[in-house]
Amino acid sequence: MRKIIVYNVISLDGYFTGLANEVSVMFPMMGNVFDSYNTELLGTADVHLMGRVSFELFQGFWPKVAENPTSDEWTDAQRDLSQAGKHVRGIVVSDTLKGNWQGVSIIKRQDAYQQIAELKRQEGKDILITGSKTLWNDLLAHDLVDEIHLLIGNLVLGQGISVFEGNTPASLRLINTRRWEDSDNVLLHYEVNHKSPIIE
Amino acid sequence: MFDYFHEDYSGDQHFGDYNLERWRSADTFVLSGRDSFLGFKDYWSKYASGANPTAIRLETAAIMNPMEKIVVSNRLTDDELAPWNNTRIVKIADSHTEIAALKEQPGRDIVIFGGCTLWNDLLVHGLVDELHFTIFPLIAGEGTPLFVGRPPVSLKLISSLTWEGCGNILACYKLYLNK
Repeated sequence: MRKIIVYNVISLDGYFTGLANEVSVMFPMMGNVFDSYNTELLGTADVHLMGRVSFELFQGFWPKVAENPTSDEWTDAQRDLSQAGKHVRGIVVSDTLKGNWQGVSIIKRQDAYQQIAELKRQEGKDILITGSKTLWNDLLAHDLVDEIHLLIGNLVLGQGISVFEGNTPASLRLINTRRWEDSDNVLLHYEVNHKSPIIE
Repeated sequence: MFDYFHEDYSGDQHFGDYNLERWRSADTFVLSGRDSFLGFKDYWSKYASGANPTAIRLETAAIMNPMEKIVVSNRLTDDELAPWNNTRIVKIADSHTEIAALKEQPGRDIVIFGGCTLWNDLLVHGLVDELHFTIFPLIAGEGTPLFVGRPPVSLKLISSLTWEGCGNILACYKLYLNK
């Protein structure tokens, strides 16, 4: 069975974005490590699953890197990530998204649980979700998420949108942590326990 | 919050272990507010005589009970201190000068455990040197934010720690007040 892996970047105080869902507040902690770890995760995935908001955000940036990869606007880590992204197909869960993108398919929200569960049963590599907090919190509540990788920075926002939505009935096991020499981020890598929840 | 705590971690003592390490290297415990003080005092002063004490907590109680304490409170009175008589009450208005003076004295570490309102206030006045956070493998979904607003500070990750058989991660940061 393929795994659904969630990768998000969060502030030290647990925020995913700013109060207006702006990602720019996270930029101070999103150095090369953020991109290089994303590239690493894409190496074991063949599907990139997204919500609409994150898809539109990625569309506003990554095609520019792909079109002109040698430009010195990009870092090496961004070039590598752009390259790694070519080997996965995109799936966006949305009722409102319209358009045609090569290698990207759209599934409706009402079909999402069933289609994603079916996707997990198919042969293949992992299914990676980046950003897309609304989507993965919902999938987590429906026991469809297998791993959560949170890159926690040294950034304090004081306010913003929390990475978790509500008291999700998920039991987590810490399976790895990681630090990088040139970074103040810590990676927390959790496995979601699919057994029925235990009351302590 | 502990409703979905992973079964592998039930009974895990590493959190108390790390706390004990901090108490071992400290000589002053700073507490925030009357209710918190009374709660700590009640628990730790009676711990050794309670049911099923653990070795870690017995040692914690043995260190904490005789340790010098400062409680920042406008409501706590002297006749509420016993048996923690080695406690000095500091009014909120005097807390910055008192803590700054304490830091000037020779000695070991000064520990604030919990006391979120207190340390957030000391933090913006440049009186906190390190933050040690334990992140549990739990989703609260709601609660009290860790920081009060957005303090003008920069944090440097100095260490992180995990333990076999434990789902917690400890992350320690050094603090710099932004100019």
